[in-house]
Amino acid sequence: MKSTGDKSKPLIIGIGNEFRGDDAFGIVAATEIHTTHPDLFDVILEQGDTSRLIDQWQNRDVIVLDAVYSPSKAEGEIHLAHSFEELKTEYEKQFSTHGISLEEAIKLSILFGREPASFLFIGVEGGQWELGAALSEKVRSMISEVEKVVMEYEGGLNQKNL
Amino acid sequence: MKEQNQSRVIKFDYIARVEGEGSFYVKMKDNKVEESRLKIFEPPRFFEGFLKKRSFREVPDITARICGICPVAYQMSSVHAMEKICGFKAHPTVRALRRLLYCGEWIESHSLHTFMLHAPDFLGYPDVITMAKDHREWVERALTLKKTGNDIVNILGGREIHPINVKVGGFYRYPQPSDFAELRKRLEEAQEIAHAATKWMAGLEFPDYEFDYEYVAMSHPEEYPMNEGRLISNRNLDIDVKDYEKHFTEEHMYYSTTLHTSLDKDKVIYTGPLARFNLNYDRLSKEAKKLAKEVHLKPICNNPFKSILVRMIETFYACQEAIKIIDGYEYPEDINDEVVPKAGKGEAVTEAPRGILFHRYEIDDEGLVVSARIVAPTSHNQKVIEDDLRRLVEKYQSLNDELLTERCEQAIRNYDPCISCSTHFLKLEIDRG
Repeated sequence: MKSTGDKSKPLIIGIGNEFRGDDAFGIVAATEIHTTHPDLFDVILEQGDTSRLIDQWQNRDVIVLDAVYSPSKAEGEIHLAHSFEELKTEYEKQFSTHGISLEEAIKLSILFGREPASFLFIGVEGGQWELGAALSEKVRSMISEVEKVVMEYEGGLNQKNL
Repeated sequence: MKEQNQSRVIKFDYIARVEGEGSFYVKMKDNKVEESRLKIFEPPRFFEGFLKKRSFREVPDITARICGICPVAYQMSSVHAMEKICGFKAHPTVRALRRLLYCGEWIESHSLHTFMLHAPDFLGYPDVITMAKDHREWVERALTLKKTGNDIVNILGGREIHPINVKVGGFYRYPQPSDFAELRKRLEEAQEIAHAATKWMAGLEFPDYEFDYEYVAMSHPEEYPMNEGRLISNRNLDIDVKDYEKHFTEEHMYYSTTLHTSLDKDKVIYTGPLARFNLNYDRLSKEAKKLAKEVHLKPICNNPFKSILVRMIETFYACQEAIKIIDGYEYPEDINDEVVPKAGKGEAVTEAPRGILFHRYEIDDEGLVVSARIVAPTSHNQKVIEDDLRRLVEKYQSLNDELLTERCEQAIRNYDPCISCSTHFLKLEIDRG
């Protein structure tokens, strides 16, 4: 799925790996929400290198959907972060041999002044991550809840712009 | 200097976004490495099963999903293998556009790797964020360079990641020459950035480490290799790609599900930019060779840490090559790119940014995949990475665990291994024996 390039619409960014169980959440949820509301949102699916986001989200209203993992949390639990500052992971040191992380993309965007106009991160706790596995039923069932959050956010943006 | 009879264990885990996928483990005794194990999660295995009974036409799109950084490589190896099976020869315009697409992937992959991942190691920063505070201009230029590569893939592939415009036989849609107008301007700027970056990187401090490796790369009589050619080495390998499986074997290691590739039973090989440069220097453009000379780089270079320089020279070359292809491009009015399936087996090797990528398929007369085999660059390099780590740990054993681990990570990044898109170095654990 490719961005429509319509920068006036809020941009949904789905992050994940569609072949790794609940890691597919961001990709599946972004696709489904955009398919249901094609006139309301632009969409990007990000499955590899998040450094691309630095260019793509600048000055836009952005909603990031991703699967998250925190050992103490229940599968399907929803986490929200309304700004870059609110979005913290438990890992202080995160290296990759192959790409930069969402956290690093965010920090570079802040450093270079390429931040979104507004930002909402919606993370859903996953439970299964095996290669080749499908989304778990629990995580899939959360897509409708996440859609409500997204629509509420979009409504709020509309109010703000009136 | 460590005392005799002292054991030392160095271990660090690669942990995925979600959980661990592998580890690096070295055990030393009496200042010698007694045991070293490198486990890397290897996604292509899953795809080989996944491809069975799928149409040969779907294979480029499915294999593109193996990697978010090098999808073009997977598409190119698969289309070449399928066309070989079906006895189809691609139109010269298709051939040129495929090379252009590969230029895009090399530019984006190399600029990401050199600036964002490897340069911080050389400059003593924990990550690119910290580096960007002191070297903002270079990180911003890197993003510009990388975006130019993304733009090529976007125009030709239909989108930046997991391109959807590549098909067996050609492309679903051919761009108009005017589609490249803006891109061409950006490529000129990108070429200048790559040129300046090569000189900047030449000023980095390279660890004093060399080894007499057996380099393996493709070789083409007329061009720096990307999509076509024979497989050669700096020893005595010179084979047609169809003989790949007679020479290269994979071995299961007891500590890992990953396979290690060897040449002629037990030879350890080195593939990737440094191998390409060492074996194909003469095929580089005049300007790229001049640039290499200016930074005192010439074949055979045996210092793997200088692969960062080679990557930037290849980036410069890819920008030049992309401009050349765009300048010669004409919209193909009459093109036969429809491939009729034919039962048989066939293979292809192409040069992914990080080294040779082998695909072999068997399809039936309806074009359904009977079997598939994919050997990724990281599998080819796994043994040499492990050997380098063993040698480096011995050479630099006077360093404390933190510095030694950093040196090992820097050495692993010489190979830009494709562990998996969601797999990270995340946690360091040192256990002193």
